[in-house]
Amino acid sequence: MRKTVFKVFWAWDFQKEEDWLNAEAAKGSNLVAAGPLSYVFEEGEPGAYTYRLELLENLPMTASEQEYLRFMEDAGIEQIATMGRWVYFRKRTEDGEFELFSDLDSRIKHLRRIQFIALFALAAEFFVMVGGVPNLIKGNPGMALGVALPVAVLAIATVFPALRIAREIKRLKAERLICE
Amino acid sequence: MESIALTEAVFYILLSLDEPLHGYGIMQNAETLSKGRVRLAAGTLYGALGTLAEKRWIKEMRAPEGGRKREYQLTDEGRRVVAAEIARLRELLENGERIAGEWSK
Repeated sequence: MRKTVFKVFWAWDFQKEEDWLNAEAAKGSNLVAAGPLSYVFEEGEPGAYTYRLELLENLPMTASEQEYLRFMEDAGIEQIATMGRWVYFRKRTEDGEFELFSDLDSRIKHLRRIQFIALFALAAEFFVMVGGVPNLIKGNPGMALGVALPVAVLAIATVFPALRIAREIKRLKAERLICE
Repeated sequence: MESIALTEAVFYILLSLDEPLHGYGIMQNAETLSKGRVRLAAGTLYGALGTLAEKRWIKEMRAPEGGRKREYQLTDEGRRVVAAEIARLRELLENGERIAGEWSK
């Protein structure tokens, strides 16, 4: 029995996405495929799997990432789906606790990859807004505001997650000074 | 000589590789040695093995045939590092027991 759910998560909300997938898995809905806007679940035993998400450094099909994915497979971790650089892993809960990272350095490294996406989005949004200024000066406010305004709203919305990630990284780095 | 403190994850990884062993075996060994306390996550382990291989403290065995998992083993330099680390830990332990041992009195 399969079901498709249409849902979108921002890159920086990956923890929410992971929590949601695990909540579904606890109920017996196991993710089997993922697209940009949708998720496909298959009915199975409740609580059988634990899901984890990771943003890879490169696309999954590159040689270095293929090596990493094969290593994960050897460790009993199943690769369920990929979406761009995102990989969806799962492991049977009966095999024990499943985490991708067990030390601060790995977690910081992973967060930095996501931070880069947030900052890149911010830069792109800023670029588009600034692009609207010449139109404003030329007396074409409709054109300028029509594009720049919604993007400005987007930019403001992006700033909060970007700050949140920066704070989290800072917190982890502070902790790293006293422990691993 | 510079004094380097290894993370305990790395210490247990190195301790596991006297004989060739694959990633999953390392994870299980660390968990057994530490009585369940140290759980190496796969992502972390993968990164650490890469760094250790770069530093030439371990070597990656040639990719095994027949779908057997890739194995790793200590190099001579790796064994030297483990010995130095044990000496460092002994110093910490001796000082700790000596000084903190006085506190309860």
